[in-house]
Amino acid sequence: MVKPLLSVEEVEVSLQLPEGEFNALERISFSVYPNEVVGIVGESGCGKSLTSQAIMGILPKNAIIKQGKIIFQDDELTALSRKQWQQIRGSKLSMIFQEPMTSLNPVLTIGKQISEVLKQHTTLSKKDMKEKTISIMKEVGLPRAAQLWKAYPHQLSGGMRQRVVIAMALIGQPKLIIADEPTTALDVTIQAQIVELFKKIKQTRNMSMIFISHDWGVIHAICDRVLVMYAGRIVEQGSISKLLSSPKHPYTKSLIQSIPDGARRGQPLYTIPGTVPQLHVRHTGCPFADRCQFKIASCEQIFPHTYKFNEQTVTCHLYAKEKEVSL
Amino acid sequence: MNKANRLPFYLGLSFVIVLLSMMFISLFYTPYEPNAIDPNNRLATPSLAHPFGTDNFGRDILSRVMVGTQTAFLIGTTTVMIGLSIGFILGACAGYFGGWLDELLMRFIDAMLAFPGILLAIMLIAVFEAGMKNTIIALGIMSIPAFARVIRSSFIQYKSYDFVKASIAKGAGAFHIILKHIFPNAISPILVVSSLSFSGSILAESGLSYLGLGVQPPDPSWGRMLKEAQPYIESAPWYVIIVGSIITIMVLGFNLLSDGLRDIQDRKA
Repeated sequence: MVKPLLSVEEVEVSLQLPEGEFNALERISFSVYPNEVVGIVGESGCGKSLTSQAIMGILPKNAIIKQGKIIFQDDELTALSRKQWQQIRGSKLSMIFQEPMTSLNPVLTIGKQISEVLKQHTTLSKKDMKEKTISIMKEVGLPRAAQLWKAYPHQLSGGMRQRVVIAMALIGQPKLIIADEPTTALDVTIQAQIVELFKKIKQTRNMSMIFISHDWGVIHAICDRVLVMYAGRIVEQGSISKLLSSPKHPYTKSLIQSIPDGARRGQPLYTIPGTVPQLHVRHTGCPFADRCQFKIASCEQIFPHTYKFNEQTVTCHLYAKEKEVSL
Repeated sequence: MNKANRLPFYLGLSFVIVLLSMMFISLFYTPYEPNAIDPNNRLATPSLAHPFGTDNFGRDILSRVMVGTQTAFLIGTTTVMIGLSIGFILGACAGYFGGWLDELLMRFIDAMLAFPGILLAIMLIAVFEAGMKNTIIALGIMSIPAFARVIRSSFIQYKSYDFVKASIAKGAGAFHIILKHIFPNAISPILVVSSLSFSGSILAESGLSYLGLGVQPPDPSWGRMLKEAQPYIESAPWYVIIVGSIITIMVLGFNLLSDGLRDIQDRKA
């Protein structure tokens, strides 16, 4: 069996809020294998971004990893020193942010910002750096790369800026890229172009990706495997085709049901009633119980075990009769 | 609307440019030797030969005012440099790292602010000795809090921006982020404080020299000229008026400049 590139084991992250301390991520476990694209879906407030920040080690100050391990290649990330982190970030592990408008520094030129990674991690000459930067700019589809090298972010459109952000993440040739909703802030036509770019990157580059989104269309186009998160837990995971064709968890079912579908033209769109429970009202039972159509008595009190079906796992009481996985 | 807003900026800029060119000219040329005494021509009224008149020793006031610009600019630039460099280190560390370091540094700055500025300078000069060097040091220390506060607030603002997080995700260290990412963004507020502190320190120097605590003879200083002119305020009023106006123009010029800069910067934001 192939060794995973990244394995997240039983990670628990808690947030220090004025009202007290709350677990925002509970016992998150998953792996990312080489050359695999893993999607994370879920509503806002489910812990998708927190998961990616925990892996990058850029959690906000009031969030701490209470327990669990994050193993990347052979390093235990939660135990790294500042110096070790600086070596890993950008060269082996990098991140694409959601907002292309704010993730570029307005007073530095595009070229400087892309080549910054090379400056941190390599000893290339200025000329080589520029060459490499321009070739990566071409790779992500930025036209007139040589002129854009000297341009400032405000001179670029949103789509071009996102390409710059992607170039920044790619240039260090990392083994794993975490893309935190990279298409959410873009309009639909640009979104389609960026999705195409990600598909191309996936085919041509030898690396893995964690792709966070709440757009099933984007996830379907890019990802091999998907984790469905709800209220700080992974409730279901499996291959993208399995998840879309036979979702097991009621939450996944509802999410997929709420995708607009041409066959149901004229009917009102399906929405999941209610919202994700706030941190301070989460109880011991299944967090989805209040919004679930298939709720049974035990849902309110006991958090369900995780059950395994071939490559698909689901955390729900409805599957208690099936074979239980040891967790 | 647009033009009206920029008027103070251009007015201030032109004042500063006039004084700056006066200083450069005085480096190579003054109408008379600034310290040359002419007993026959004491307290002469302004004329073609002496546009600003002469003082109680018959020295040409125009030449002395011109040489005085050198002192003023020297004091202004050096105090700004001292205030800016120390204020930057304190403000950047406090703002970027936050937490207990921020508390500690800012309480220190608060303590400095609680001290009346000119009193601090007088105390330092009384302990050491009066003169150009100690005046500069005292005024430089006085200007640290203003810089530290403004720089700290910029750093607090910018450190939460995504591009800083993106830079951390690229493997950049704190030093790199402070200098390469946040500092260029904070330049415009720094410029505003610099020009304010520039005029403030020139004014403070004039005040100290007027009291005889600042620049000592033979270094020319506007503040001391004002003091020398005081006894003759009735017989030779132009002496006081000219020196006073020059100080006013300098201070007004830099204040207008910083006001204008702030307006331009606010509109941009």
